[in-house]
Amino acid sequence: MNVKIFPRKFQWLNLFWQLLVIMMCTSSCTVQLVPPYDPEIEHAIIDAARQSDRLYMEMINAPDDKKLFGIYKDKYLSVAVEINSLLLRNETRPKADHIVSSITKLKNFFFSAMEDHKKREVLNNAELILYHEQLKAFWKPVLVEEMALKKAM
Amino acid sequence: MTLNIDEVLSDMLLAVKSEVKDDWVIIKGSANDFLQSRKLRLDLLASFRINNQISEEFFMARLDDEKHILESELHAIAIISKVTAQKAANAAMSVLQKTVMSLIALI
Repeated sequence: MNVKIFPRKFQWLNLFWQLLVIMMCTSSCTVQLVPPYDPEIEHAIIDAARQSDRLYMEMINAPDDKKLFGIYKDKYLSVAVEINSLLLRNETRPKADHIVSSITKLKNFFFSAMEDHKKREVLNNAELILYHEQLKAFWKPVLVEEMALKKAM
Repeated sequence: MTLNIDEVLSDMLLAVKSEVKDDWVIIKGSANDFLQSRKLRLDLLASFRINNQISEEFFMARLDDEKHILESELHAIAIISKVTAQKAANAAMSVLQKTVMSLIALI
């Protein structure tokens, strides 16, 4: 059965619709505003956040004479490497500007806290607790962002 | 056989509404969550300063960091909003695509 949608003088519209459908079928026709979800990046965020959490928990619970920067230098560097790696992975992702901004802020904060500890050699518990709480607060949006991408699938 | 564009638009709008409704709860939840944890941190920051456990300089630096945390949280809210917009746009496009395909099949 040949059903005509449009009167004869509007037959060109038939062609228009057919072209539209061909375009839709050939160009997957989806809107992409955010990067695709990456479970490996989500795991990397959780692991790095856990490492930084452990570092601060150890320093907070250590006696005053065991709060020297030198004792924790390697653990600081290990977290720094993980943050740098996360940043690099996101810099190469398409449409990841918001995520890159959040990780850059996290990186700046962590490096500045590390430098503060290095410069002063010892931080007191109040300072370590505040650094710890703020570091967790910097990690949270980064994780929320990656988990939100899962919903876009 | 006619194409009822009003009906298609209405179906597209319904598809958009159903996507946005679910995600608004997430945006609201995340925003409240961020706000609540900020309140706890600011209480802690103020109490340490009042008790002289941290210097004025350290206090001001951490206060400045709160501004950066807020900016980061806004980036997260923006991502959630974009995910919602993307899902809504794709749902609407899917309705349009299905309608056009079924009409073409009849031609």
